[in-house]
Amino acid sequence: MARNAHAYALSANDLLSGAQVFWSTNGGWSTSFDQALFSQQSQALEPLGTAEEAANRVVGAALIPVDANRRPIALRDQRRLQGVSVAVRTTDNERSANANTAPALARAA
Amino acid sequence: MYAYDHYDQTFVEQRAAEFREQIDRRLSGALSEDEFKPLRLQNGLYLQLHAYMLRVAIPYGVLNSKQLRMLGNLADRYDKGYGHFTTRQNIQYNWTKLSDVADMIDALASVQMHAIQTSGNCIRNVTTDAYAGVAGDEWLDPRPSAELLRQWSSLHPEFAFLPRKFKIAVLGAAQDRAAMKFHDIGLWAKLDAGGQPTYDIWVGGGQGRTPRVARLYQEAVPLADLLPTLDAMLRVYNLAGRRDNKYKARIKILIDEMGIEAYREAVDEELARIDRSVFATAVTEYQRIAAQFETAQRPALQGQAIAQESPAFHAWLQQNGMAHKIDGYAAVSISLKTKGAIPGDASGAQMRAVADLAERYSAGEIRVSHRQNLVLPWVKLNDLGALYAALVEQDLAEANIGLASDIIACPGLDYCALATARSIPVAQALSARLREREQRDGPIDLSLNISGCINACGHHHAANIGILGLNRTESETYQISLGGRADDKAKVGEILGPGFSQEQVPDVIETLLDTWQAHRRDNEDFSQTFERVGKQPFKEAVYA
Amino acid sequence: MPNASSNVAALDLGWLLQSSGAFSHAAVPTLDLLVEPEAADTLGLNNLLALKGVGLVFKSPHDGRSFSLARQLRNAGFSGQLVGLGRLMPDQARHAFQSGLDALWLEDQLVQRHGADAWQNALNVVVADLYSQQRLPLGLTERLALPDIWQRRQNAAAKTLPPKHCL
Repeated sequence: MARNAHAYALSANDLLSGAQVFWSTNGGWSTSFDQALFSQQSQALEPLGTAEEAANRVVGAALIPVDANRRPIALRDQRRLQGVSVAVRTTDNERSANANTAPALARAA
Repeated sequence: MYAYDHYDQTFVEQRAAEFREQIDRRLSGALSEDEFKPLRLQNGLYLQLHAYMLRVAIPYGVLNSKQLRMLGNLADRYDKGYGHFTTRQNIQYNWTKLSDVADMIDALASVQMHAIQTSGNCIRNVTTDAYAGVAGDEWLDPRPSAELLRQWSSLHPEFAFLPRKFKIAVLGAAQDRAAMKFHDIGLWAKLDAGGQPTYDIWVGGGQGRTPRVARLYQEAVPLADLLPTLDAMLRVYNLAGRRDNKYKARIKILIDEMGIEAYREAVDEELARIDRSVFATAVTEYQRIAAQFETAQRPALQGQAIAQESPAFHAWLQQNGMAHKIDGYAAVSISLKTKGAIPGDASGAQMRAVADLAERYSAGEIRVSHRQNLVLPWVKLNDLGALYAALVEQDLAEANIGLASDIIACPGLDYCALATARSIPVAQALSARLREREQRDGPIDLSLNISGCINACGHHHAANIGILGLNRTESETYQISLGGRADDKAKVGEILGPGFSQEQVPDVIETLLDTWQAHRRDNEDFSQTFERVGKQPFKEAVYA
Repeated sequence: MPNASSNVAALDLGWLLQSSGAFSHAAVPTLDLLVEPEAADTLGLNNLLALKGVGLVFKSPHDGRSFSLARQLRNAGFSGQLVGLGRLMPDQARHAFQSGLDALWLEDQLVQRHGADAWQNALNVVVADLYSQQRLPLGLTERLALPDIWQRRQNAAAKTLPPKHCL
């Protein structure tokens, strides 16, 4: 695995929402990296990712190599954790906030 | 415009219902991700870094106001209040949930829209000139050809699982405003002596890791032969294109490797076997489609004139207006590149505002350009002043169409799972800096494009100044290329040298502009200067 | 059965989905040859034309070569049976039949995982509403032999024209 990796976290996209999730110390998926489980053995997490994908809970399971400060080593992982660089609505698909501006959608038969 | 009839509508609705059912089978586990992937991609659904992304087709970049309003509503209801117009005249939503997609697609179907084949290894949404039907230099409206191709390629039985994506662009004017020569197949429609459409077929263009300008495959192919020829060209590619390496799977590599003559022979062999009765209805169908576009054209208007307004108005019209094919009208671009903006992004409110303006001032019609801007194609000259005032109010009157600050940029590492570097913050910083310079020193007439990875969705190869974001030892570095262009003299840019950090980029670009100004003779455009003086003076200035 | 595939024994019993819509648990049809897409060039199109039954192998859900191979064979005049085998999805059935295949032969586990319903329904979805002319194998049932959208539009337009004597 990655050079200089001190430990690994397991990440994926949630199948339904597509949000980035991390295998947590609670033995389930969490959207918070703070709750991620770290293991020094990549082999300990890899099969878990495969199993969770096969159980249709997540997609794109992959290890995140981190340094001793639990900071991701790969640029892609760092950027992904930081989130988008632009200001976006933080509420999650807020449907009511725009009720005044967005007319109801015509639902096709 | 082309309006769906009962058959088109049924098709799109059935396809929406089918995808809803495919999503259900994915959620139940009947479809594995490996199987679902090509199916979801063919319905425009990607998986990105933070969410799913839904790319909605805007066939050949044409929208009516009702459709644009729906796109705005989708942005607010299912996304975070905005959408991103792409270089292939589509729009994509970056915060889609799998559980919402089927409803989004139903909503699209209710306004004769869909997301079919905006992604995946199939024939993608066909693109064209954003000024189709209204450009002064046009001899044939390319939209009927593009619509015919949309219908032919939709769910084509053989070509849904190709080695790689396949992009087609159609032109019908003297000038190339669709980057036609950077497509897998480019069609340059012309008229024969009898006034019937014929097509020059260009093949093997593309950007990505191995940029290629398309080569002329065949001239003056009559309409009746167009679909059989394309069928044969695609069949040879589907069978012989490489599947062992996705970077070598495009048709440009097949043609590089087998040679255009051998490719032509293989296609001719196919063509000789093809059952032409299969395409017997195509010409009649083309005529039916073309008639709809013709009916939608407006008659010339008398007594229209551009009123004397503020200097700002005239500067805007000079930069964003386009001479119209028909007397009494102008085609006007709305820049989605205001100072410091994210190229191609529009909020739901902006989309609804433009839809309203199109209704009032542009016969209800809007276009999306491959440079990620919008066009109002039917503005009466008398209305230009009022339109300008309304655009100013919406902060949509930036007068920079075709200038350096009219930057093309892909979503980059902010959203895209394939990206190697961020492109949005670079574009924003440059947009602020360059727009300031333009406002201070006058228009800077060149193209500047940014891609966040070698796949080149931001068309960096095809720009006078191209910027490519790369990952060098886990930090972002931006490589610059010069001298590319996307018009009829299409050319791939040359790499200048080692890359720069994100912070350095704006200064470097300004140095390049200064260097151009120092060497520029008369009214040379950037390519002319660059071809005359070469890379060296730019290199010396930047790496001094 | 000569073949380019190594695993014929495993193909003994499975499900057969025919272009007619018939779907049954059956033995693998008698085929003269199994063709993997890579081998097609070497075998030579003309050498296949006289065969009665040819199996076209699908190697992954992303690989559409055998669709074009089927169409190529049909265009060249092949009139025998074309059977698709391998890694197929129900959603690809219409592509297969419209490309000129007569049947898909599916392993038990493939039918089990996708569900027999999905396979049985594979032909009910959208097929009748494709735009471009159908590219149908010989001997299709009437259900599939519906004209495509372009043809139906033209038929409808012809019907609405006034009779000649009124013109």
